[in-house]
Order: sequence, then structure tokens, then C-alpha cells
Amino acid sequence: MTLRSNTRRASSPTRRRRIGRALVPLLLPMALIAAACGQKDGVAGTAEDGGSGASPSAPAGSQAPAATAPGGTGGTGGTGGTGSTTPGETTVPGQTTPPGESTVAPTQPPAAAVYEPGDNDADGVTDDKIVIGIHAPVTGASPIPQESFDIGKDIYWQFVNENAPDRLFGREVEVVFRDDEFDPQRAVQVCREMVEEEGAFLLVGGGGADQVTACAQYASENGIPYLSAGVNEEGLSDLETYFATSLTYSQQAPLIVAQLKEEGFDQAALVVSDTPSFEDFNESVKTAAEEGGLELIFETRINKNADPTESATVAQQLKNSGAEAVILLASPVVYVLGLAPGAANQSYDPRWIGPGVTSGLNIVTSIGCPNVGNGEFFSPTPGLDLITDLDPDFQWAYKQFGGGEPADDIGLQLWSINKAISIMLEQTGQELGRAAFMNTLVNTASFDNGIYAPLAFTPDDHFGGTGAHLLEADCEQKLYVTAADFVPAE
Amino acid sequence: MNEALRARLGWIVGAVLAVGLAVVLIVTGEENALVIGVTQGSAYGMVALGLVLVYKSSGVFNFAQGEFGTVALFVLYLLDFETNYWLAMAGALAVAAVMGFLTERIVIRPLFEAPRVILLVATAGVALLAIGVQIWFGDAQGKPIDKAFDRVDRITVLGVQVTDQQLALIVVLVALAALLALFFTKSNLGLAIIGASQEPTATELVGISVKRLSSFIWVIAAVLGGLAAVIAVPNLGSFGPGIMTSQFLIPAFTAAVLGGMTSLPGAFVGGVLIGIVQSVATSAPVFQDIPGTKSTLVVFIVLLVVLLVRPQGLLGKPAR
Repeated sequence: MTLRSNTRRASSPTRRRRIGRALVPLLLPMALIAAACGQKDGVAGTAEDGGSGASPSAPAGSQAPAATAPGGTGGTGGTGGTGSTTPGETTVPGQTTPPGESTVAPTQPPAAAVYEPGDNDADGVTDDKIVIGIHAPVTGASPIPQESFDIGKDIYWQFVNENAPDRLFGREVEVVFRDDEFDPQRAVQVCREMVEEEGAFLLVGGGGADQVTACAQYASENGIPYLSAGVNEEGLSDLETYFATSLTYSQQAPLIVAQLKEEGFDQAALVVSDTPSFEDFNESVKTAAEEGGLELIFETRINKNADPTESATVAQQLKNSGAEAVILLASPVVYVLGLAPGAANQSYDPRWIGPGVTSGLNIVTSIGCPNVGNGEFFSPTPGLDLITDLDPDFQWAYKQFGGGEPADDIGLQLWSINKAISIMLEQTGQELGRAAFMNTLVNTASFDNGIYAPLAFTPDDHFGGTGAHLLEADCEQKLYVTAADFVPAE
Repeated sequence: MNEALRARLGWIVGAVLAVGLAVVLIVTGEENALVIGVTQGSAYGMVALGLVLVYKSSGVFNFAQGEFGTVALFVLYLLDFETNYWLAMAGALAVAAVMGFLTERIVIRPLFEAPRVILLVATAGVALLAIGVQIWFGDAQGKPIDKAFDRVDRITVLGVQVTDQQLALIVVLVALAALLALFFTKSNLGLAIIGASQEPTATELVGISVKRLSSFIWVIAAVLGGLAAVIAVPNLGSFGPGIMTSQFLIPAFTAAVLGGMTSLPGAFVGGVLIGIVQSVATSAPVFQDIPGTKSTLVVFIVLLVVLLVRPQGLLGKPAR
């Protein structure tokens, strides 16, 4: 069943470009005003006062295919200003301006600083360098390809360094990476190392909800900004320095239910990993199902490291329940090595659907096909089939800096979050510190990197995602392709 | 009590327990767990067979048993691109045999006189080294692996499809357990191995090379580990570094202890029992409120109860 709504189709790139062209006469004057106010590319409605006024350079003799510098053109002058948007106002998902061009929503009034600089406020920042630490599981029970991380972790920054070296006020970004081995305790250890030994200014979680939660808690205790794709809310919602750059699992629950209803399912089963941090997703799905008219006919929690017998038993229970769709939040290992083959061995082929990110990675289809051929997962980024439409710089940069390796979806995840961070750093200005950076995040109406749905943080809400892409498995190509782009959060 | 009856007590208890368990599961609507337990538990049983073999002959808990299998899987994966599946499988088992031989010659033999705990740690070292090498050469990612038999719906038992691959596993396991039991009780070589494990000096004195026997046992154990992996894991569709250690070794150890560390048929029975208990613990409503790894918890409770009642395990012989 692959019914898609017209509204989803309406947000296809072609239509977005049409909308963009139609809005040019309206946007142009606004762009000029915003540029005069120092509006940065990809930023809507800043309130941070006292920006440095340094302007990002256009690529000098750039060979990049994009018409603009990475992240696009910028204005001059300070970032404070006046405007008409209200705090938290976002760019409409799916109707953003084309990639590389400025989002030019008017700014909001200056807001009071939420964060005060601490003793180590500028650690990891010098006149010519910013250090960013990334951790992810590349060994352990649920590994993500290490080579992809090694190559992809700083391709965006190489691209910026080459094409717009002044964009971050003369600073280059150095990325340090550590393997957290899919172990929360190890994650804290490597995060501490990256901060204390490598001098990371901010930390990024590359995957694994429990590791993200553990490291984010460490970061919060030490006043260090921490960004990751949205995972659980439990354990993260009250952390002052944590920021989710896409919808949390709970926020994706209504999208999952809506998607299943759209595909014609009235019943589904729910399988969630038994880690306590997924309790919020479990409850959110139940609530969304009730509100959305989807009957949950079977529910169970599965061990985070379920063995083959447990997985086979759960697969049999799913089959016995008669569920034709299964909402799943578990590690890719449990999905690929356990549930999907367990179901296939019983000639049971349900629609697997769940929140992003890791089950929607191409590593899942490359080793799990054909058993995962009916899988569909939300993701902060689209599939590789759509990225060139959204951000042509990505493929170009991989050709230039990828050492001959083809671009992959791990690289796209890294490119996207680095691009978002770049916009945030630029918006913060030359006087960069941890407090200033986080004040920028919570006082800016939205950040739009052209790949994610725009990000909108407030002082009280650090879960910044406003939409997601939907990926579906294509076992002929053994990868995920984009089924719907910029699906807005409900 | 009659000596013959005493010797068979384990079998009688095991049979009664098995029948009782089957009846309870069918009556309570958990009959699926019975079939899943047998099919999944057979894999544990086959790994346990190798563990028992090494323990029986040398008193060593072999933590490298799982990795003999994972290495075989990597070889099967690589050769499957180059040649037909059966040749690839033969190559995989040959490499497992070589690994077993090398482990014995390089690690076990130099430590032959050392306390058993040193050997235990040494085998754990072999396992970790093997996993490291797998990651080094094959990266940490999963790899798809083909089945020898693709059909999944030929047989349905109590509502559960038993795939041809699972059927092959059960048949091979039963055959191997029986053959090895006969080997150790009826053949001169088997009796020599038992003799070497109990009285190595006396065995040397009658002209039998204990070291050569040790090599032989490790090669057979490694082939058993390889066989378990190349038959059981394709049911999962893919594998990664250390899969036999992370997914199969602990249940297999438990199965071996439950069956009686010296009993080869006990390894089979223990494996199946562990599979059934895990499956029941996952599906039965009575266990649903247990948080965390309930299947592991229930398995260890069962193990504890069995060992309290019968310390030598279900089919093991009491220490004299």
C-alpha cells in the first residue's frame, strides 16, 4: 500500500521551486531589508543582539555548483533588528526558499540572555579555529559504518574552508570523532575526552538514543552545547544545553499514525525497545493512535539487545496478532538480525514503520534486504535520490573532498547537521562563546539549512524539529528512497 | 537404588520434564514457544556440543567456541562470491578447523600445565582477538548471508513454520550428538580422550599422546562451532563481527551447564530447554511485567533451580 496524499506530493522539490519563483517578487524587497539588517542565510527572525557584522564571503573563484556560498549569501552588519515575526515563528516546511538562498523572515525584538557565560565559555574557540566533537557507535552492538563517519565528519567544513573561508569570521572548524561503542558509559567517557583533551567547544551525538542521553547529561552538567537528531524526550527535556535538530521520537508518533492511516491501515502493532528512555515514545504512539483512529492490536517491549529466540518469538506474536503494520522503535540490529528475518521465516511481511534515524539508514537495507523491503522510516534528511534537488553542494563536495568515495546517507546526516551548526555559528557572530551560541539558538525564530525542516528553538523548548522526511526501503537498489519530503509536524 | 536406574535417572527426569513442559505449553496456549524453542535452541545446542567436547576432554571452558563459528561465517561469506555454496561451506569449516588447530598449538598447549582458569582467560583472549581481526578486515558492519535452503513454508508445526534451514540444523545436531556420544563410549579413540582427560599421566604411560589427542579435540570442537554458525546464522539473514559470541555463546554455556557439562546429548537437551524457556519468558503473559531482559532472567532462574536440585546437570554424572 503506497497511497500518498496530494499534500505531501505538493511539497515536492518541483512544486517548491514553483512556489519559490512565485514568491520572488514578494521576497526580494524583504531580502533587501533583511540583508541591510544583517540577516544571515538560513536564519529567520534573530533576536541576538550585538552580532559582529562580519559578512560571509562569496566563494572567490568558487567551482561549487551552487550559486551561492555554502549556506548562501549573507548580509552585513549586526544581527539584531526589528521585525514582525513572533518568537518561534517558523518558515513553512516544504515551502522554504531554494537551498543556498537566504531565508529572509523579519527579525524579532532582542531578547534577554538566557545563558550567562561561565568559566569555560570560550573553550574550543580560538581566533582561527573552532573544535567540534562528534560521537557515534561505529563498533558495538549497533554499529554505524566507521568509514562513512571518517570521511563525512568534516566534508562540510572542508567545503566551507575552500569556498567561504571568512564565513565563520576567519575560523576553521576542526572535527574530532570518538566511537562510543553503543555504550552509554563509554559515550560519557568519550565526550569527556573530547571536551577535556581535544578542547571541543560543542558536542554532537551521531546516533544511539541512550548514548545521546548520557552524553547530553554530561554536557549539560558542564555547560557545553550538545546537539543531536531528535531521539527520546525523557531525560533530555530538562537539560539546558541540549538541542534536538529534528523531531523527537514522540513528535514523530502522530506522523507515523497519520502515515499508516493514509496508507489504509486501521490496525497496527507496536514494538518498542525496553530501554526506559523510550517510554515517552511508547505513550505518544498510544495517544496518537487513539486520537488518529488507529487501533493498536498488539503491544510489546523488546530487549535492547534481544537474542534470536526473543526476536523470533516476538515476530511470531506479531504474525499471530494479525497486524499488517508494525510501528517499531528498536536498534537496527534487533530489526535486521531479529524481527525482520523472524517475520520472513514465518512468511509474514508487514509494513514496518518507525521514527528515524538509524533504522532508516542504508546500512539497514544493504544487509537486511529482502527482509526489510517493506520498511518505512521518518528521517531528518531525505534519501540520496532527493538531496541534489535540495542541496547540490553535497554531491559536489563529496566529489571534491570525499577521497573518491561515493556520497552516502551517513555523510548526508553529518553534512546536514554541520550545515545547521554552521548557520548557528555564523549567526552567533565573531564573539563566540558557549553562552552566546546557545542564546542565539533560543532567541532565533528559525534556522533553515534547506535539508532539514526548519529548526525552531525557544528558551523553553529545545526540541527544534518542525518536520521530517519519509524514507521507504527499495530492495532493488538496496537503499532507502524518499517517499515524502518535508512532512510537517502536527 | 539400582545402579542402572541411577545412571538413567537424568534421562528419566529430563524426559518427564520435557513431556510435562510440552503439555503445559500446549494447554496454556504457548505452543508456539515449544517449536520456536526447539528451532532456536538447536543452535545453542550445537555450540554447546563443542563446549562440552572441549570441557570433557580437557576441563577447559572454551570462550573462543563462538568465534570458531564467526570466522567460518566470514569465510562462507567471502567464498560464496567465488564458488558454489557447498564448496564455500566446506571451505568455511576447513578454516574453522585450522583455527581450532592453531588455537590449541599456539595458546592451549603452552599453557597445558597451567591452572584451568588461566586457560579460560586465554580462550577469552582468542575470542577477543578473533573479533578484533574480523573488524579489522571486514569492518564492524553486518554482512548479508545466504541460506543453503531457501524454502520457509514446507513444514508448519503447532502454528509455527519450520524453515528448511532450521530443519537441517535440528537433523545435524541430533545426528552429531548421537554420533559423538557413541564415539566417546564405543570407540578406542573416544575412550582414549576420556582417559586423557581423567588420567593424563597414565594415558601417556600406555603410549597414547595426550597432546595429539588435544589437537584432535580442538579441531573437532572448532568444526562443530563452524557448523553451528553456517547452519544457524543464515536464518538471521546477516551477521557481523562477534555474532556467535554475542548472540549464542552465553545461552550455549547455560545449555551445556544445564545438560551437564560432560554430557553430549545433554548439550542438545540443554540447548532446546534454554530455547523454550527464553521463548516462553518472552511471550507468556505472566512474565510481561518483568522489566528488562526477562528471557535472560528466567533462564538463569531455571538454571539455578536445576543446579540446586541436581548439581551435575540434567544428564551429567556426579563428581566422585
